[in-house]
Amino acid sequence: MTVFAIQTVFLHLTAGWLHPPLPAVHDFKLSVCEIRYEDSLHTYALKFYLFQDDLKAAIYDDPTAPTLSESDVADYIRQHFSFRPDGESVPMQYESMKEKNDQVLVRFTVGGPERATYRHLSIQNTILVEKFRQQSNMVYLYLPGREKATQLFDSRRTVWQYDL
Amino acid sequence: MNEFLTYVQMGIRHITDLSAFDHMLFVITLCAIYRLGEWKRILVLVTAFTIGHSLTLVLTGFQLLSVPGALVETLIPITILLTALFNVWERKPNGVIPIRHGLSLQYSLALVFGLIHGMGFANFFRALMGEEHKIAWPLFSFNVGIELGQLAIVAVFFGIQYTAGRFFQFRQREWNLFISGAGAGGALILIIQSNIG
Repeated sequence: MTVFAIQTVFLHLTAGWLHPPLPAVHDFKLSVCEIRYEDSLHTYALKFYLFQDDLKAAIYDDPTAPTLSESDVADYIRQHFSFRPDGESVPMQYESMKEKNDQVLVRFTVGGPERATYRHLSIQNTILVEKFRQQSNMVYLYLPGREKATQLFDSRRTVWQYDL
Repeated sequence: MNEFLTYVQMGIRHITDLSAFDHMLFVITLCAIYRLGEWKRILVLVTAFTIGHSLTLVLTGFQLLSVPGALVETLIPITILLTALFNVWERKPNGVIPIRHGLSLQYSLALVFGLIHGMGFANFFRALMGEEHKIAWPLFSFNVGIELGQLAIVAVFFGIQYTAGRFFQFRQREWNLFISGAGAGGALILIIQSNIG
């Protein structure tokens, strides 16, 4: 029996090494975006939390690339995230990028008229979805006087319509 | 989408993620020593694991406990390896664990190892929450998702065991060795990879 057990372990080890590399840790394929509307400024503040290695893999095709360029990250997010009040395309103004452990915090703002002038908000989020099949992107929307709204995006759901 | 369902979905996805299967491998290895007919013992075992991981998920989620992520990710495959070794070395005459010997030890291990896996769940949960401080309801919902995912893994595992048993007529001891071998092999690869790079 012990011999059988040892053989079984070696069989699985061999199969494991022949298989494409396994993740060394429980690799989270996740991004988070917080959107807060500031009444006094008529501005939406967007904060993205993204894992650095995932971004490097998507932008440079190398998760171990030495650095992340701010302009590359800003361009990548603009290409994969859109924010459309009543279907109108509005520019996302890049503000800053800060490294936090193995993540980066990237800030944008979206200005424009008062929230009350719009009826719907359409958000499209395909961040990292093209790179990782199991990618999940969580979006939190905070509007004054309303409960926090939560939406999960993934490869099957990339657009969210929200009634303002 | 409803907030509760969103976090439930994230909990299910986290534990059933095929590309990062450490938690799933642990649950499967934990159940390897049992047959479907021993469902009461399986229930107690899974409950012990649940109590363990829920406790540290809550403590770590509320930042009352903090353990470096790298340490947790190293400890998790070690829990799988130790569980597999326990399964292989535990004597099981007639295919049933004698209660006085191994059973209470296995429940204790499931509880203690659950504490470690809970820290792993919490690392994911913290990443999910961004800077949000109101986490009680999301934490509860996420834990419900983890439980549902765990139950699904157990159900599928015993479904396969039952089906394979009918076709291949293997003995429980051989099944246990095969699954525990998979657990040990997978755990060794994770340990080696996490320490080598």
